Amino acid sequence: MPPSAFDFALRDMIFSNSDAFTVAKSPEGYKVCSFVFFPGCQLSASNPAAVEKVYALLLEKFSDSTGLLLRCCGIIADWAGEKEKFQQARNELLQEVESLGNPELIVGCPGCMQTFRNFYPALKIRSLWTILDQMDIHSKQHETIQTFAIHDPCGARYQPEVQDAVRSLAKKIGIQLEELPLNRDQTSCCTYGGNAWNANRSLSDAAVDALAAENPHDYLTYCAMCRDFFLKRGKNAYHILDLFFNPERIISGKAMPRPDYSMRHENRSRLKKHLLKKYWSEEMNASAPYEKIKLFISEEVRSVLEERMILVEDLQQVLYQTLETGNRMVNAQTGHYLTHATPGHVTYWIEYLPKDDGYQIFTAYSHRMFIEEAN
Amino acid sequence: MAQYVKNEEFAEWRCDKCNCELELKKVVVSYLEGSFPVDLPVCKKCGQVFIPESLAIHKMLEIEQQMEDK
Repeated sequence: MPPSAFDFALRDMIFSNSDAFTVAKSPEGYKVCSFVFFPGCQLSASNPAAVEKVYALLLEKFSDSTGLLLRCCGIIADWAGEKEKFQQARNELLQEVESLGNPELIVGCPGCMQTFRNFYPALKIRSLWTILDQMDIHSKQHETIQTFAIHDPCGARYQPEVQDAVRSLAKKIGIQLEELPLNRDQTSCCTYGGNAWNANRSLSDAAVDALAAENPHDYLTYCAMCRDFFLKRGKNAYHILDLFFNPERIISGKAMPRPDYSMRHENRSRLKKHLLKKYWSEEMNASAPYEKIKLFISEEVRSVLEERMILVEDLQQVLYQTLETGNRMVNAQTGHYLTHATPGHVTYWIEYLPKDDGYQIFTAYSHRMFIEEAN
Repeated sequence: MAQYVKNEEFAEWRCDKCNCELELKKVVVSYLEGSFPVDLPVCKKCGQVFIPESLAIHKMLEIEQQMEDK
């Protein structure tokens, strides 16, 4: 496959397995732990507040010997056919689990569950959903107040106990469920699986639209990416944790906002920073110098960046480089500057102006072709 | 030699570093296994290249996809 097919998804995996997000910790007072919560990288990106609440709940009501493991399971690399990168991610994860005393993983992502079952046979794993269902947090069953259609994530196809647990949880918080034509072991993929969304975006949009049209009710799912892909295409959708901790959303019908690609990175880093401080009184390592560059980006420009899959940190890297080289064009009419750089495989161009203590961004675009410049 | 940028697309831009106008000049662009010359606006002095937004999001993307499909 050409690099453009999977590059963006692979870079997201590299981010998740970098110091910006990874954590492998036993709870304070324990050298090793019996359990470790593994929320998955995309749940942390979509709903970091829920990850924090689940971890607190596990410590309080399940086992105070529950550690925390933040990183990506590596499946993105396998989907991209990058076997070496997958093996590297797998080895790193196994080393971290070993360093924690080989605890049982409490997994909050159906895709990660499937990955662990298929590629990590020695790992002890358990689904978060079966634990939450057994906890009986919402022990007094609510009166049914709203109907949703349930969408099983493709990662949960062969996990009937997880499918049942989520249905049971939904019922307990007052949700009546309708089944989609294809469900459980035959459920449709939202196109995050296999990196299809990255390889063929128009096909991905069409597939999600078709899936979204199967039932007029709002959708309930238990995969962060399924929720966000539905929301992106205008279908009201919830992750079960959106409602589990905030049941008022069931009545309001107001879905949580879908974070854009840049926010998905920021959410993961903030989650790490916050949890390190809260549970271990630790400060996160200093961020890269370019991350200190402040940007002013309108909603309109932000949606252009999202469509073009350009991250805020890509812009920060280019501007940081420009400050060093001084290479930029200036427009005689508008006074806007235009600069470019190639931090990795992609060249980014930014039209900007200095503003206050940062830079206002007017547009940004990119290309993969390499330009042989004289300077 | 291909020319994808019209004069009016870069007439208002100049190199800020050299305070110099741009001119169309042969530049080699490459992607995957292929490379080819294109007329692009560059700074007359330092050779810094200017790629307009319309070129990047249309023609360059189209060529990239064609080369990927080969």
